[in-house]
Amino acid sequence: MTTGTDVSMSDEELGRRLRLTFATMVPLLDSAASDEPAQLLRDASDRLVFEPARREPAAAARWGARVAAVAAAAALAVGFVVVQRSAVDDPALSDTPNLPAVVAEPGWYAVIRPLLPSGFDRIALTHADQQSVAFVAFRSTSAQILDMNITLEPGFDKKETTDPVTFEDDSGTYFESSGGVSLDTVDDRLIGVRCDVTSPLGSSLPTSQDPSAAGPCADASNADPIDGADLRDLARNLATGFPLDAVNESFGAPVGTDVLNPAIAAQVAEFIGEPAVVIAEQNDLVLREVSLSPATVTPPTSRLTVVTGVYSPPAPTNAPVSTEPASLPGARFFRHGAVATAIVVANGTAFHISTSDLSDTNLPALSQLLNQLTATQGAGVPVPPPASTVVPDGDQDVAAIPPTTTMPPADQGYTLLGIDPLPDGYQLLDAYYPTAKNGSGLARFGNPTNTTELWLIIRNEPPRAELFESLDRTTWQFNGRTVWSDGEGDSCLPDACSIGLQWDDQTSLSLIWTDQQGNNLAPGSDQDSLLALLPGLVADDSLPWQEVTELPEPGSAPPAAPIVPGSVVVANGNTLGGSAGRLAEMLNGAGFTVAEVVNATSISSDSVIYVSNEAWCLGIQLAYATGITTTESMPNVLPIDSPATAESPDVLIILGTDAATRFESGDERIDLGPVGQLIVVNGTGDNSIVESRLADLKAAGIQVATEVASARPADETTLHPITETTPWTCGIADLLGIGGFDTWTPDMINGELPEGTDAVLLIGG
Amino acid sequence: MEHTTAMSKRVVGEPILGQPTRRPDTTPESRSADLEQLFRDHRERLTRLASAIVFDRSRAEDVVQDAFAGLYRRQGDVSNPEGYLQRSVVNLSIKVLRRRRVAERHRPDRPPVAGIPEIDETWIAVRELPARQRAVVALRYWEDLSEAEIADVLDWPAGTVKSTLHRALNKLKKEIRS
Repeated sequence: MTTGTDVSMSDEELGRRLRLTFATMVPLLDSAASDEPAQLLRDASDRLVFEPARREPAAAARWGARVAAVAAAAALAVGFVVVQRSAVDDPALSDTPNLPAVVAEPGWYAVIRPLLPSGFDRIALTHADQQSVAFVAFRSTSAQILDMNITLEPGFDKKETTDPVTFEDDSGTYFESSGGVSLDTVDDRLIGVRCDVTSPLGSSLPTSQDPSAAGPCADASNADPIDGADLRDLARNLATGFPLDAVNESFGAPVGTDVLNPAIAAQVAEFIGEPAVVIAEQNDLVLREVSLSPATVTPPTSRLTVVTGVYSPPAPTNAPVSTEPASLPGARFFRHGAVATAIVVANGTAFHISTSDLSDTNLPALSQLLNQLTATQGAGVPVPPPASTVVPDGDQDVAAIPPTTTMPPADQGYTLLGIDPLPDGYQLLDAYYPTAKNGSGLARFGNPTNTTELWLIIRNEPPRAELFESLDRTTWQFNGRTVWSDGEGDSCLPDACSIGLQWDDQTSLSLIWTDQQGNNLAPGSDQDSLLALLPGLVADDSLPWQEVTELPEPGSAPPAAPIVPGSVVVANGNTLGGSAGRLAEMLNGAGFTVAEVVNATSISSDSVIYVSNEAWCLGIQLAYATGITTTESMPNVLPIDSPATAESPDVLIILGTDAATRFESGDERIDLGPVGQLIVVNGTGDNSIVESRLADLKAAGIQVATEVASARPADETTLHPITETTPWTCGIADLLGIGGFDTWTPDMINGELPEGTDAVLLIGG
Repeated sequence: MEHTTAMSKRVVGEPILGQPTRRPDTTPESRSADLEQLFRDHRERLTRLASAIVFDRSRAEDVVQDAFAGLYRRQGDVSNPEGYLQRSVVNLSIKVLRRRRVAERHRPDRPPVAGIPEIDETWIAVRELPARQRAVVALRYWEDLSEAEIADVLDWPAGTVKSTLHRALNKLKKEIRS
């Protein structure tokens, strides 16, 4: 193992460490400067323009923006090739082995993509000649599939039809049915559009037929439905927007028959136990649908469709391409009516499985097959779960299909993940991801019997397994993926233990046991128990992820005590201009309510906090927050020069010369002191009261270390600080409407309070 | 006559003695076009090199801009523009670093973190190196240049590069051990 405490580091070893460090950190500097406004990117010139050699700061900033914009514009213009090439050509990364071949954006992609609805960005060209073209497109956030045919030559492939005309406009005549539309254009061409969720080829399983006229992409459970009107719009777009002369040398050709990995067919045959039956085929092997059921099962209950030549846009990162095989632990199925489907796009190939056999044995087996297929195909790009809400039918066995809810927008650059099942006794505390792109997502799970939390952190990060291997960290293999020791070196700390894993080529995760109060972890909270959770990792559609503007960093202090409400006036009692204003801004930023900033009647050497009788807890919190330790009762005549318009503030802060410079920079952190260990004693026979109190605490982010039964009933709810009265205990008291503190009497419980108890909440009533 | 004889011996394409050597087209338009090509070819690499020294992408971009501005002003006199740019970037980065060290004494920036202790402690240790040592370390372990190539880029004696790198590595070892 190599760690920072290794005293025998050689030049060679230090050199290796330095290369890894530069290779890791310099790209982070890149990304830190990548937040250029979109407008700048659009307006960016690709010409080098000089400004005067000596620039004012504002000009320098403009130049910086211009250079970054030029770089971004150049990268956009050349697209994926440039992004990947920069990683390959990078001298510091020249030792990176076996980078997969770069896939440039085909010419047809830029032609068809703008004509499709949002999200349909994984597209395959299934046919192309001078007469017609055909595409299949996948929308990753809804698992919907568009199948499109466009004839380019007037009169080509037209047949007589007796189908009724359902709509007419300037573009032509529409023949619409559930899930599809055919447009006979005014220039005598045919545009065919179909949307499905259960099969790219339209050969859906019999039980999947949606009886509604809306079509399979528009069922009520789908959060992003495509109905008949949408399909009509799409057909019109294709008729008017797709150039008739698009098929030329730069357009690109459909993927040929030699790209399908033969190992795929072998694996399917091995899965069934007999050769697979081809159900449908289109354009040789570009699309192939095979039965995943034995020949004796007619019609087949499970089908696999393989679509090769799928172009996926690059991930929003300049990370090198993953060198790891893709196996997706727990590739997941989602319900569409009586059919479950799963889809994964791996290295240009889409694997789509649909099944009407929802049994506990079939779905895990199919999931495992999907993992094997994607691992065989190569570096994978998992499709996030659909946005649809799938409500299981009441009388069917759906244990293998967890209920789903609407996914938040998956624009963070990583896949949202969850754990199912959770460790015994653990339940979700909260799950956040930041509004800004590429910030880490954090899901926290707690156990009421101890203070050890389980954290799942997901981030947009290039593959790092090789980095950790280079650092001689302990690694494990799981489903063909490298798991690494993710903490301070190889071993766990007393209060933290973690492992890391690359989920897909844009998502890495950490699983962490952590005790935010600094206590030792609960027994069994080790790397082995984290490794045991890996099979339960799933692309999350069950956690109530919340979008927040800022996510607390891992290891940062847990939520502070609730701020006690009340009006605060800050008076400037020193000669440093603006100091009171800066303090007021800081306090407001921390959640206090500063009603007004005024001048004190005189300059004072000592700062004082005046507190009204009812606001003593707010005074304690402000004393901690400001570091002003002198507190006095509120005088009858306020010592302020200009009269405060706020009526009798709850707290008046006189900022004297002793603390004037303390808030000079205006960006000091407000510290409300430590969070303590709270013990709840149940002194009531009414469980609803206890549950209500616990819910209030949980909602405020206050954790209960443990619950203890009372030795005797209690008439009212009281709070008993064991050590001292702190902002934390004040916050709890205010939260629960407790007007004061009581002294703890040990005979309220049988036995001793747990060691480290800071406060006891006795719930009575 | 003598003059004529001398001319007759002239190799085709060689400058005529006594006449000004034909110089490249240095009109503003052509210089701008050449620079644009250089910019496209080398901007990203040079910016990352500067980033590896100054630890700040936006400052690195300014450094590269200044290097190109310097080349623009001296283009007619520079025979190896790429080498000139690389040397300029390193020297300008060192200057920026020295200036910034003074300004940062009271309010250091928060450095980016990888979240990997071995990487972060090494990065912090590199950050503490004197400017010239940091530049040499960056050229050696980010640009992957040999000591001889670093000497060539910086126009330093080979011994100076060697001793600077040696001192830098010793300092890093000490910092990382502590």
